[in-house]
Amino acid sequence: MLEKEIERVGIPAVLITALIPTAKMLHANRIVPGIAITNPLGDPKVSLAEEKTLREKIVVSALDLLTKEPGEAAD
Amino acid sequence: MIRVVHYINQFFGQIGGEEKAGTTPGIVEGAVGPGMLIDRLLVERGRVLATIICGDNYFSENPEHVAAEILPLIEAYTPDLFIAGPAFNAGRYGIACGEMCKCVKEKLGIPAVTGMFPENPAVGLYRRHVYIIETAHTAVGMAKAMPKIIDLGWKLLHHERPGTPREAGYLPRGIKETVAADTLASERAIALLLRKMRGESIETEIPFPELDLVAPAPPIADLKGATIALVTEGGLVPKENPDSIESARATRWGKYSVDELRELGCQRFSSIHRGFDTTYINEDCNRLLPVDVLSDMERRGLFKGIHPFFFVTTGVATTIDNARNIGKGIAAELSDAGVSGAIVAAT
Repeated sequence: MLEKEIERVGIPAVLITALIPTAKMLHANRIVPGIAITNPLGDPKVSLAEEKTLREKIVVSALDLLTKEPGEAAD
Repeated sequence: MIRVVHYINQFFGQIGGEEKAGTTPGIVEGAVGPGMLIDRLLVERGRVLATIICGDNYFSENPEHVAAEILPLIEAYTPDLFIAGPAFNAGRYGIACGEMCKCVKEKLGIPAVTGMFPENPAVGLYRRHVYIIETAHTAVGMAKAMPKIIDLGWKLLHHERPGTPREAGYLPRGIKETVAADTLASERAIALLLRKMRGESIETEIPFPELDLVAPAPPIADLKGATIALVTEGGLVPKENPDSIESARATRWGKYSVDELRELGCQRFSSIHRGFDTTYINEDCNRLLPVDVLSDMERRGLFKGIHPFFFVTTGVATTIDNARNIGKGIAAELSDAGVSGAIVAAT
């Protein structure tokens, strides 16, 4: 919802969420899968260093999507 | 005596609340929680033989896979009827109920019924596949919803016509059924138009679907020169919640300092969101808003800067109207500030 309102004013917005079917159903344009509902950008089961690596990967994907049209080939 | 299998989540299954939302599926003999109401309503006509209980997070993070995992447990009881929930307005629970009903109907060929509040996000996903009885917002509506769920299930089981959505109380499925009418379509259309012109109440025969499609905004042309803003519906606010953002059914949003988030993190901020277990995010806010990683990238020159404020609301049981207004408010600020792109983190 929020990301669509932001896109509506012409600013690209990427949604990071673990609930991909819901995001697609609500027609979000730019979606990056989050790790889990309780920790979209983290993983309490791994070390802090590994978490940061995971987080960086997601953020890189997110920034990448912001620089592309949705539907362009993913990295 | 009809054989019923019931699906419920960890909360209605009396296992626990959000902290147990990762519970893997299990099966219990007989009825549990709301299943007992099913037994009471069925009386001599049938019984709940078994209840599947599964955590909402475990299910909704991988719905098709988990449904396939649960299916053999249901099959073993050779039920005549499958009932899920009802889920009311709980989104993840709705996904679980919808997916389970769809899976049971398609793979086992037995009738499956659930119930949801019309604004449950799972309604859009499943209404075409599955009968969803319209319910109230919360479990306050259990006593009203369950008899309708059973009645509809009974009809389906006995190959009787379910009736229209209005007659049977289920949410419109978007499926058109051809019926013979007493009057011609042209006559009905004119009658409808005349009623509309007279200001009388009207009911369209074919409602237009509500599709809110937003054209994608143009991509950022030059990331190095871009300012990126952080937005979340995860309810991460300063501990005293100065703007009184609601924990559920939010009508407000707030904006807070990214510098403070970076420097003070969970000492200063915590999540007030009531729709999921906030423990992990409250241990490390970066798990919701990745300020650490973004700041590293900013220092390395990948983009120009992080917008100094992050924007927050709470995304649980938010009405569609409020969600739009909140979104529009935040979008207007981002636009005024000349932000190049936004990362929206959702739980």
